[in-house]
Amino acid sequence: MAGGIKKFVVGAFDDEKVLFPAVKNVRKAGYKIHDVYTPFPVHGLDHAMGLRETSLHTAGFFYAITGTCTALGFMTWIFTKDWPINVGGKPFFALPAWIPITFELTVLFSAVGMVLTFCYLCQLAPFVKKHHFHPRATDDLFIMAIECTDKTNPDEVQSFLKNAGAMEINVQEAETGWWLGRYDREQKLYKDEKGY
Amino acid sequence: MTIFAVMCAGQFPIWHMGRVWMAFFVMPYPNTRGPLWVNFNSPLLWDVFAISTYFTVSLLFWYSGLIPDLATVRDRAKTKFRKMMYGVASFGWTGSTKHWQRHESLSLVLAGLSTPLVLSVHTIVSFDFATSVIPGWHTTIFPPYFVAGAIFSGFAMVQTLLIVVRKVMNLQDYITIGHIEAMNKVIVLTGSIVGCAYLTELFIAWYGQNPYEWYAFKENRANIFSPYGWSYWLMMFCNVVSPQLFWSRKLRRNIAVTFFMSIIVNIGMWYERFVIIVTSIYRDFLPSSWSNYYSPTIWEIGFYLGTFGLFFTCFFLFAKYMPVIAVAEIKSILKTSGENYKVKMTDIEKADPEKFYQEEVDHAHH
Repeated sequence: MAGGIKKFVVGAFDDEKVLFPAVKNVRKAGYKIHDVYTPFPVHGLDHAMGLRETSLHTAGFFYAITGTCTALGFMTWIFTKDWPINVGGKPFFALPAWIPITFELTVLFSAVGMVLTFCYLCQLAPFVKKHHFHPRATDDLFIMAIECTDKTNPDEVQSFLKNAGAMEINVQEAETGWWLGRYDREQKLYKDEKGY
Repeated sequence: MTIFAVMCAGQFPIWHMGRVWMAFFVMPYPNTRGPLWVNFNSPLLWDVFAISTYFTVSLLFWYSGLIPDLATVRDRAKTKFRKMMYGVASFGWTGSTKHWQRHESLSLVLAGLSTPLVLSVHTIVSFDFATSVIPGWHTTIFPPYFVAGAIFSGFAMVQTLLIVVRKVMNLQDYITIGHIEAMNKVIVLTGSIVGCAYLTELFIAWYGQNPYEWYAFKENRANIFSPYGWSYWLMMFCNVVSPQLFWSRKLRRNIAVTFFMSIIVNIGMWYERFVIIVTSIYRDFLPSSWSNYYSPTIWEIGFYLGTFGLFFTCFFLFAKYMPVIAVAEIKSILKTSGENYKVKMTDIEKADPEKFYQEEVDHAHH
């Protein structure tokens, strides 16, 4: 287990119109938002939570350049140094003929690199299991998890969330990291969960 | 559809190598043969890179887009087995805002990479023909012509599958008649581009004053009484003439006509490849080696039917076990374009403008 167990106050919202002011007020009150789990990408929520922009596309650019250099370097080495082939006296360094493969490798390196980086950053992989604060977080509710520090009074946070418009509030002890696990165990079936 | 079709298409070069157990010889790796490298100047090798990259990137784009939807299925699964399987497939997706932010960025870039990749893969496939010296193949118009043909037949094949899936899975609210009409517009546009390419090719064959080139077009193709003239005109009719029906709005919005037309276009595009390959090589430079009539062997028919089997097996498995529409994407627009939203809007739309202004706008300012 990675990440360690922490205590969270969890509130469920059913509308973006309520969620956005709630995020703003919770941050203003000085509480630490661990995360907001949403069933679809909510545009602007990352800025409202004060998250910085992702640099994933920059990483993609560098992977692309790596692909370009690999393709050009490899073909140049093979056809000018390692095994030059004389094709009717044409130049060994046949750049125009190498453009298609250079392009393909640029795209391939960029795509594969970005997907692997994405999976690494988000800690996504087969057989990975994480704590889910609410079974409807991937369905139709927005779930806000507020981290409780030593100074936080969970009851106070709960009433704060209630005022902010959360429809379902509870306190959970949760593992923040991931572990290898199966989704049919350790977690109740959806139909047994509250809120189904 | 792309992925399963590429899987089918990718098999053929391997079968055609004859010694399929040596298929890995096309990969550039240090070997005990020198090392003797593959020929990076050859369009056939470009195709190896183009098809494998296209397949890999399509697969990554497809699966990374599926992860959040598989997580939705996982969390709604009602049996333990499904929960376990979708749990493995969804990679532990939680829906975290930071993850969504990265997911959006990834989807945007992968979409941006896939678009030129479509152009490149069909361009490079056309190079297999265009860089040869066979009359009827050696033409510079091939790359744009193949790209337009690919979009044309791709949309037709999507229509074929989509119209059935939409009906069987009750997706009429999500895949609307408006979507189908828009796709039919693309079909009539690209069909006409393909038509222009056919005519340009024919004109240049005459204008270029190469007797072999002109013979291939005039006698092997355009002459309807030549052994394969029928296939050229069948191609012309299916790809260029029949899609012109879609200039009519009524026909574009007719499901039965759309389905029928999509099959016609599929047949037409199959005949395009048939015309390009067969009519160019059944009569080559030596009239003494001309064959009278090419007819496929049982093995060729078997391979072809086999690709149907592979494609539909994969497609049905996908349709049965995976989300067929992008669930998360639909959810994100539901609040602004779903039926519930429209019902709420009816009152506002019917309201008196003056009164609405006073109540909503003026009131908000004071």
